[in-house]
Amino acid sequence: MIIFEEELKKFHKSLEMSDAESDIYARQDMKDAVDVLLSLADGEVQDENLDE
Amino acid sequence: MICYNCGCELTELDFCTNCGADVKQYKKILYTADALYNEGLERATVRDLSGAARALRDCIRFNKRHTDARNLLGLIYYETGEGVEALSEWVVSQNLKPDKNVANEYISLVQAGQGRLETLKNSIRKYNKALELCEQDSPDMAMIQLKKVISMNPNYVKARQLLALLYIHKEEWERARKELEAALKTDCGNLTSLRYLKEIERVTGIATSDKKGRSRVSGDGSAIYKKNGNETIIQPARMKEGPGLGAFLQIAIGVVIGVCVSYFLIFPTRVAAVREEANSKAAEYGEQIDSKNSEIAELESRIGELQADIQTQKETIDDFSGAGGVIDVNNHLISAAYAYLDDGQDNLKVDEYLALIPNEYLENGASGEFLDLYHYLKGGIGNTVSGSYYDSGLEAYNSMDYENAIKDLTKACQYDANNDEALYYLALAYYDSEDMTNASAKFSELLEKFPDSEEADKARQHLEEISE
Repeated sequence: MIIFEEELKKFHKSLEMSDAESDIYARQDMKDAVDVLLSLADGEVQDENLDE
Repeated sequence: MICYNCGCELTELDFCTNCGADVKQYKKILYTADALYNEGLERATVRDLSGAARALRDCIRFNKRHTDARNLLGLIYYETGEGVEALSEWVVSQNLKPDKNVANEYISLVQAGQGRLETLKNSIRKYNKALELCEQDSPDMAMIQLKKVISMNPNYVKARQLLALLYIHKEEWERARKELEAALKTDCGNLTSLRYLKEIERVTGIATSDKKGRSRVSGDGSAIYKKNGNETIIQPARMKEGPGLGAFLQIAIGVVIGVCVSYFLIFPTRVAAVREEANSKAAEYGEQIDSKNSEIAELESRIGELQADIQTQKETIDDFSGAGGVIDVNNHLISAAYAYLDDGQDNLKVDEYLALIPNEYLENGASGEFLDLYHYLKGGIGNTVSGSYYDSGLEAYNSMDYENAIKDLTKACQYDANNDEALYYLALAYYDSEDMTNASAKFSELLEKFPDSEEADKARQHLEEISE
């Protein structure tokens, strides 16, 4: 059963040219799994230093 | 694969052999990213673009520096009508890897086709406008906008899905089905399209697979049954379609292909052959022209020679027939001979004719016979003429007309070399005309030729006077 209003909410506007610059920055600045891993590794190193 | 810590190339071990960093998890992440990229690539190959995009987005979440995944994701966005997102992915990919990156080519291609880029921008703008109209409860206006969007960008999946949703809302099931089928041709794995289509099939009770030209033949083979939505079309089995528009188009296409083949294959060959033939003929004509020029030069040379011959012949003819020519001179001699024989004419007339014969001819061109006759006539009239000239010369001298005296007395001496008186008066005429040089010469000649004559003493006296 399709409910029109509910389905309509699932549609989003497409990016226009004016949005391109901010979108590019967002894509470049996003954090990936490698970034998370590296940040975790940094935290472990800092913890080790504190323990010492 | 390089170490995230020191940038050294990693081995199969779980730690970096250079800095000792633990790379086990790091390697797992990168391998997972590669696996997701491979999945995305496989899905894209079978046109499951939604699934491919999902896998590629996950790949980038694991490794945002995976430029191949970004490039492929950009392609998928571009194919489904999301031009700006495609360009964003390619720009990020380009920033990550500026050299030897296919994203550069994609960006260049899109930017080069300004018309295409403009269409893309307009279709996105109109889609967004249509979505706003839907939210403002203006589905009819939205549908008009979406139809324009699809005409500009037929692969715009989201636009077709939204239009299909509007058709479903209006319960125009077949139109909705048509849009969804078109959307699935672009992206066969799109869950939204599949879900809407499933709903249409549920409501209408007709599977989409039955819609695609399914037909069955009646039991006796006399008719073909085709389903078109809720309608069943019965068509006679033996009915043959006449040559319709399709056949005409095929013939037209055949003709066009034939013309193209002629233009691109036969025509250049024919042109080359004609050109070669023309060049050959031009060379042949050139040789002929050279030959003719040579002949003309030869003939001109021959004309020059002949003109020189003509001139020579003319001169020869003039020598014979012109004034002073051989014929003329012979006529003078004949006239002189006639006058000499004619008793009615005096010898002075003979002398007149003989005087017309030029000395040059006598010295160079006259034959022996001519000279014999000339001298005979001259001798025959000599004394008589000499006497006549002597008389007239003496008369002129006496009347002090020294000029005519000299002229006549000279002739008298010429006709009679022994006429010492004529020579004496000739010398006197020079003397009296004060031409002492000639006078002296003539007196000396007289003394030499006639030393014993009566005039010799007088001449001697005059010479003495002149010398004083």
